[in-house]
Amino acid sequence: MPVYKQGVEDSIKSSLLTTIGDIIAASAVSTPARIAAPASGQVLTGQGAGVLPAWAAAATVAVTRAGGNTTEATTTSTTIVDVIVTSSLSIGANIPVLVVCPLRKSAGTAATASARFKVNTTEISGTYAWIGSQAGAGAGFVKFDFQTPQTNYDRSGWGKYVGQGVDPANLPLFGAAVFPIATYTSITVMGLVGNADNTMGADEMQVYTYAVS
Amino acid sequence: MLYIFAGFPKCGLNAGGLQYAIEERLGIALLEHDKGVQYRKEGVFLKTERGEEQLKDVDYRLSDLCLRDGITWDWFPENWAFGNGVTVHKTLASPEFRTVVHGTDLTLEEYLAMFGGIKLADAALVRRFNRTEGWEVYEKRWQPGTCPQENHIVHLTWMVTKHKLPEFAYERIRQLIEVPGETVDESLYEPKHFSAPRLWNGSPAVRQGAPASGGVG
Repeated sequence: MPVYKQGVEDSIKSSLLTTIGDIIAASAVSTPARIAAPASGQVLTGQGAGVLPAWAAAATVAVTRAGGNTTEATTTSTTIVDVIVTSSLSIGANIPVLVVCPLRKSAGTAATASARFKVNTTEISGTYAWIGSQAGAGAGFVKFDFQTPQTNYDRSGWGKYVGQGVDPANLPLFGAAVFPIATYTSITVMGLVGNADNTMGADEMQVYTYAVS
Repeated sequence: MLYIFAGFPKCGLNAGGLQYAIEERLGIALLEHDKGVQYRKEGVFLKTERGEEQLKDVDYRLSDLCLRDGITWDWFPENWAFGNGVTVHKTLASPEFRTVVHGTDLTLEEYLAMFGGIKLADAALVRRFNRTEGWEVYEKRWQPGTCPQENHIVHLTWMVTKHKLPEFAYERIRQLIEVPGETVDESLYEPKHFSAPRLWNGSPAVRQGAPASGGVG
């Protein structure tokens, strides 16, 4: 049976704990204070010296918020994989869209690295090597211009890519397949490496929608 | 088998570095590198020049931290491609907000177009969360109540192995990826094996142009 200083036990039992889940902390020496029960999933978080702790959302491992640490997306996959995705989009019909994504390949066995483009769940381009076959590290860039389609206007975009070992004078184009007619909720840059000894990287992907008149 | 972990590797290694650590330095797993083998949400596929064939269902394991963060197998939509080898994946998402005249669902431009002039001092503007179709589709992927309601990035690290890992090997790899403060002996690796973390300023995933004439926000 715990023993409390006279008065504290009565305070705790009679007035401080008003809701299931309430906890008690010291607001001053020998002075208990109630911290109200948390919302589901919250954890007790220190607020610094001299301040009562408070409930806050648990820090996640997978999620980065503003001011948090992030880094590039990378892969050693030799079959096509979802490397970097922009989700939570709501792009309706007939909206011009620009997607840009710088890429890199690490040094390794001489091989290419390739990219493909996906909207929602539909892969709408072939797989194109955006960098020449080389052992050294190199960088490149892919860009997709398209207008979200409507009926009968569904081949409404193309992609371009450039990288070391690819002649920039030609700025190779690749034709996109039929664009699905739907609200576009995600856009994905997919990738693969020609040899698993290489790493393909993509750090930033920007999606821009244009004004329509 | 497919193993999915929460976050980018806390030890600083990128996909190539993690692969090197697992196969060469620690020697605790054999990763799948066959150019014909692709793991997807729907199954394991053998890809050839003439087409593809499903070999089997995906045998996967999500780490406990993925589940705690609200990420289950349902987080991955249809036709999600896991590939093979090692991947450090990045998903960006942003909710949308509209600035509307208080008490209405109209932006200032829409309000003026509908009601004519208004004394600006009399107009209170509020920022309202715009629950778009795209946001609802994205939010449904998360466990209820876990989808971050702000601009955010989701990092996931996954790898495809040839065989199921013994528990000690799984735990060692999980520590490299998910445990803060976990380090590797950098003298045993090359610079190309590392990705430098940087602060993210919370910029949105999509920049929207001005809307069709007659509306703002």
